[in-house]
Amino acid sequence: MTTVLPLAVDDRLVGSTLLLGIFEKRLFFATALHLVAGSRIQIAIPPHGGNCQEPQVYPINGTPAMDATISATDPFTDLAILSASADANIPTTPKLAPSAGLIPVGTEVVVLGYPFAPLGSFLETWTPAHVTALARRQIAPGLEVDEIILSAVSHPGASGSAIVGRHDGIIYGLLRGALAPPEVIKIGEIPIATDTSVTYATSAHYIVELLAYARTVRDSEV
Amino acid sequence: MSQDQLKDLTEAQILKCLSPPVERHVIALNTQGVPWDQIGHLLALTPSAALSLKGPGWNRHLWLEVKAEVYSFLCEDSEPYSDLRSEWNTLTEKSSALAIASLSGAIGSELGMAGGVVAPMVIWAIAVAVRIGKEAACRAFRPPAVESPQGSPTA
Repeated sequence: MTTVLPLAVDDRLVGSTLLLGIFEKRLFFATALHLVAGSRIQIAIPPHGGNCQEPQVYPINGTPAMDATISATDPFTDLAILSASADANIPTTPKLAPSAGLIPVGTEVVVLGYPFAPLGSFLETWTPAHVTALARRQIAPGLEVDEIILSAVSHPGASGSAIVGRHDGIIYGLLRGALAPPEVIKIGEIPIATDTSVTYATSAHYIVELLAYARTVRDSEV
Repeated sequence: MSQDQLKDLTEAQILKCLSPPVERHVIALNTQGVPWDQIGHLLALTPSAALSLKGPGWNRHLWLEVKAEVYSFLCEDSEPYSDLRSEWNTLTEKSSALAIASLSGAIGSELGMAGGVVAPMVIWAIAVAVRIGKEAACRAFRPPAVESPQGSPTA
């Protein structure tokens, strides 16, 4: 089962984070690095526990949350691995695509996350989409990042959502943003008019190496 | 200012504090001749590059702010880092990773974010400082003077 939970930074919901597993009594999560630009990072546990098949009660005024620390980051791929202490039992951990390019254009996927989390919504949605392109973002000569382009409409809070293969359950990407006009109207810090159906996700294979490294890092060295 | 926080540190040792993919990319960019300041900017800009991101707001000028804080730590007797300066030798003797993590935590705290967010930029700044030496680093990292409304420059 793929579990995605809401992410809060400095007591504000900001987006979504994917549970990667429990190792040596530490839970590990993946999210988009651009979300965690704050000092206090928390992962909320909504009443449905991240099981999107359960009915979700709303509105809810508060929910338990666990403090998390940043165990590893990769600014070039916009990824962060978070960890939190826990004694929880995780029955299954998601399978991550081991390399880029394993998902052809046209493949059905599901975007699992918390759209509109910054507005206070704890509603997790399961949104079908298709891979509409495979992209390679060039950061500098010789430095490229593999990305997946999706037909899904990305809303505020969707960053950090898992991109799951609809038929194989494999995590192929982590949502990071949407194509938008250069001049974007904003309400406060929330951009509007960016709900285009060109949504970008970082290829999940980058998470594999970052997680392996994060597991070796002690909290004192973070 | 007389203390040399960089003694006994090596550039390779400091770069090992980066996560492996970031270390590889930074070394590759450096080998290609990308200027160190541009690499710092890439570390700060890339998470928000090219897209409309919908988080609470990534600071695209983080490299400039981190560089200014590293300057404050290395080159001034500034108060926010006084405890860390006095513990620095003990920390580096234990491990450079621990010292760098402590510095990242202190700089993150000054900038209002977790140490893990600023760590790649802190590590890069210290690696550059080790390479070029403290004096040169203090010249290179010094924040530009800001013109006050009256026209007299302030730091």
